[in-house]
Amino acid sequence: MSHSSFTPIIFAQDVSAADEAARTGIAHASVRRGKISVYIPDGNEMRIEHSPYPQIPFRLNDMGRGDPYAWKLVLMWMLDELVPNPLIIIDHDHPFRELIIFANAWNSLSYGLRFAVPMPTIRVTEYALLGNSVINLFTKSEIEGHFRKKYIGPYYAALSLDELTAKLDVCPVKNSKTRLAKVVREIAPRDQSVADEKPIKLLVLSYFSGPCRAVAVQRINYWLEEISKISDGKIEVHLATAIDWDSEADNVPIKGFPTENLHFVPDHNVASLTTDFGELPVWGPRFIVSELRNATSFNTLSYYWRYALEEYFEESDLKFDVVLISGNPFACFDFAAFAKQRWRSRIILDYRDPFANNPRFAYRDEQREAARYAERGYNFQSDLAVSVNRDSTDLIEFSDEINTLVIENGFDERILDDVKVKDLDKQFANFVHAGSLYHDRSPTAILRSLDVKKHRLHHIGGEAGIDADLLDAPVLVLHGRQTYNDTLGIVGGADCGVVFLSESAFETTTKIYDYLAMGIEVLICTHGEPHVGALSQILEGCEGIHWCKNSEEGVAEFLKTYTPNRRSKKTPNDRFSRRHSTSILIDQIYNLTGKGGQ
Amino acid sequence: MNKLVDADKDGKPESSSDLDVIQLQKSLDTARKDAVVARLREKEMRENLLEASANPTLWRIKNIFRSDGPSFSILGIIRKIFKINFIRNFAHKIVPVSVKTALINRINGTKDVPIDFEYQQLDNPGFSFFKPKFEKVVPNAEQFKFALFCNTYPGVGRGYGGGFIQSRVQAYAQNGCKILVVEVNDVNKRAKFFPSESGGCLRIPIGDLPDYLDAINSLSMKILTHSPTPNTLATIMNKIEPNRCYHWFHGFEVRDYRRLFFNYGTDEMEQLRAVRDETHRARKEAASACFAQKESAKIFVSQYLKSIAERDMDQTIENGHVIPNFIDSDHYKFIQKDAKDVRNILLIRTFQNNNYANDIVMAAINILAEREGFNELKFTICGSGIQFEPLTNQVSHHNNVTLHEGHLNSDEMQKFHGKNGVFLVPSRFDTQGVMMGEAMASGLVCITNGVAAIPEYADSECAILVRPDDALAYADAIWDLYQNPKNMRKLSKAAGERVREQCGHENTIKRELELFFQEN
Repeated sequence: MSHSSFTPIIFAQDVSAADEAARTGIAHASVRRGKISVYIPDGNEMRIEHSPYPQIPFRLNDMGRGDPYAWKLVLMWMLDELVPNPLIIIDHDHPFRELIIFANAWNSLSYGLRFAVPMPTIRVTEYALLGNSVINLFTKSEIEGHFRKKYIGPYYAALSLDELTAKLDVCPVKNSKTRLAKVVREIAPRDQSVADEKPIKLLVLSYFSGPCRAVAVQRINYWLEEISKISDGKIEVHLATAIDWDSEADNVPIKGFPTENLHFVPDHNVASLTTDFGELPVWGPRFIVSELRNATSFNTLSYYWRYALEEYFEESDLKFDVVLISGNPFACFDFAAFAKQRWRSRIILDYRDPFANNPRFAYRDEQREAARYAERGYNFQSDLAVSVNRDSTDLIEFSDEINTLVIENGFDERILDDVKVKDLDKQFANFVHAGSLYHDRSPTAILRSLDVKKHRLHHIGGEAGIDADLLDAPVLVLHGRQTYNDTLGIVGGADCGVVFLSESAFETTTKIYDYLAMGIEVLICTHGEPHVGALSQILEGCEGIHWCKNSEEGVAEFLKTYTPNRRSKKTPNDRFSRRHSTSILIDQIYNLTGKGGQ
Repeated sequence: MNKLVDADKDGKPESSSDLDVIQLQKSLDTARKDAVVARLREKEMRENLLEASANPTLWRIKNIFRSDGPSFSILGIIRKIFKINFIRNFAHKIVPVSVKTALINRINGTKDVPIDFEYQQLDNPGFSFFKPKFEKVVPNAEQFKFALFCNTYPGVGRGYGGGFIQSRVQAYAQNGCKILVVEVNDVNKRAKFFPSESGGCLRIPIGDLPDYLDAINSLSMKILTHSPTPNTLATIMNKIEPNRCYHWFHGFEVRDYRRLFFNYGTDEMEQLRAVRDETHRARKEAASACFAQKESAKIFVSQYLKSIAERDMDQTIENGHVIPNFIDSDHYKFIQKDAKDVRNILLIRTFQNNNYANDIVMAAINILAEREGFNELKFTICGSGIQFEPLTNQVSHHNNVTLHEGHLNSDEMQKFHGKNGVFLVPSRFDTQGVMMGEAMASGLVCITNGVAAIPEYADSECAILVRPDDALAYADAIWDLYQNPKNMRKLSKAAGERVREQCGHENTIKRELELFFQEN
């Protein structure tokens, strides 16, 4: 399919869309009086009418019931009779939106999304809708701004139909079946008799990756780029991910990752289960019921994606020695069963932060119990469960029965050479805080305790979490949001980085690694007991680490004796680098497979 | 595929030992036919189960007129359509049963017993219309001091299952302790007693349990149970003082079914997940109440099983004991194996599910086939189950692989033990590994995987433990032994000694009897 042959058709609900479509010469479809009509304002106006469409709305969760055959007729009409190779631009809240996901899964019908109003929430179905959209058309820039804050995946945006038609020339075609065929064709079957002489094949499986804007993605991206290098080519890394991105594009952080090792497997929600005939398999309705039941307790994003992965790899000759599945989302951890059965792979589950027993997730008792039950099921299938610190590992279900390992996030040592350290006013002791602030980890006490003549607190990030009456405090220097390099530059110019811990103290925020990377001292203000929790374990034996209670008295007590240590040279501690933590992971991969070590 | 033994040209056996082998061959042929029939039946059962779960109504309608179903009658049709069980409950009350139970009942109606209680959701307490009095069914019941309740017990045409209970009962009897075995299963249309030297077996339908339990209770017998269903356990806990109760848990009834995730494809798992979750909850409810009781004894065959039962049932076990299954080393006599036996390699395994990991052995044989000297090895593969044919097809083309499909009895197994030196026990999950123990008792050197409870019963001093799920490592283990056959003698001796010490009479039957007679 060539992208230049697309015929855009606007499926919108408001009249203005029809007017704009007519002005720009784009076809427009509408549903009125139970009929679908398409207007093609190209010379003579044409009208195609389809007989009344099914009265029961198409819902993916109801695929086994309702009026699926009638809906399929509508789809066939769209595909075969509408226009050649249509690209349907549909309102994100259009009644046909779930039908479009199904059409994309079943027959690779391409679509884009139109945003005339903001998308209120992004949940499981919305991720499937957004993940397969070729292009997003925003009627206003504010709506695009609102969307950008909420959605972490990459996307192509257009602010008008003119811009959309111009961009269509460069935007990639999403076609899972074409892509799958390509992968299968390009990768020759492996000769298993000499498998032991070949590199260990590692499949990293992460719903989000590449340019997706989530902290967790940095960990995945680093592994993709570095594992093969650090292991001297003894490990060959593949990635399966749900959100499409182009490894060769300029704005993608991963450079040089082999295209043939990238496996984009779209998430089509329930439609992932459909057979080639567009039917649910006999067990499909029960699968849906299970998902709906679990969705009342925890986030089920990637629940159906796991089956899409199974289908994808079922048709491939690839075989993996180790499969590393990284959360969040966690529902795809059940892919482990397939990997064990098909490839006899060793399974590593990367929880990063806890799932069922995460103190920060506000589950009700029955919800937490359901999540714990699900997590146990995942762990039965694992050979190793991984998290970012010991406290989080202890919170994994049955952690005393299964093998666990701490793989710290660490700082990315590769970017340190490019950081330009910023000169901060040396007449003050400069404290710095980078990142978000939360209600259970408030900066109020330190802001009230710092002496305006002696101290400054530099904050990099949003203002949320700072009391309104303290925003103008003279001790506070707001830097706003900065690029990562600039953030490290400011951190490097400061004397002491500040971390706020909640009462449970299970977290190890990534900012701690930024402080350690720049070799500055660290002050940990905790709502719990000092010297307790995950950070205490990780930082054991490190110099320049200070603790105080996160109260005005606690901070004041610390400040009485604190003087910045500007004599010692600021050098990063390699123990906390990503390279170091990745080496630990590589050793475990050797252990699990019995190959490649030494 | 090779024949097990060839007679000479005249068809006469060469020696008396060959006579045994020819008899064995005949019994194997019969067993093989039975196994094929059983395999087809099992396949049908599984397909039926999936179909029933997918569309219960359609399944019921389709199966109304099946000739192999339960009795064909108007009541039977109504029962099937409306999921109502009249037969046992006619005089008392009508208790609806689940489709799942109906399916089990239908299978039971074919004079077979449920092979896998994993599938049974909940049993169905009810009432038998033709229920004879206990005293009339079991004459001289006063002679029994113990009643043992189980789901299935060998005899009267039963196939598999319950052999480990029978060997216990016989051993108890040899120690002067006669047991009244009570088989509670809807295979039994009405209560019937089968006396034997070791006591006897009373076979009753599930619905009769409460009343017969009352009668047994009135005789102040101690109550032993093996793998009780939630209903049986709850009924016993409701009626019997706990200090007279001894409960054995063997595995499926106290573990999360997902521990054996490798036995299910996505389709089967997702089709039955809700039913299994519900079953798990029912089991958890019954078992956790039992585990919390201080007075009743709970017996597990391995520490591993005990610890996962505590986790999966979410309850600390009070008064728990670990006593292995008894391995009869008088039957499986020790024969010292040495270097010359290393080439004769035996696999006797159920080919029913992936947890038996027979696929690893097949892959390992094919890896070894690439190595020079492979033809020096002789593999004998015995077993039965739905995976037998597809898996053994992978290796049947090798001239040095001999296949025997069918279920072996203990005498036949012992004979195979005698003719081989190495025993393959691949595994993904075992709560003890009785087959391995029996082979060790016979002096065979076992190659197994260090999973679940296996490391409690075998280590590198007496066996070879291989990384699980790794066909190459398994092949290497066989090859290493072949290349270093001098290790055979030491390993064989240590295997025989270990199993006698750990699973012999002193550490099993005697401990169980001591437990019965000590004051709780």
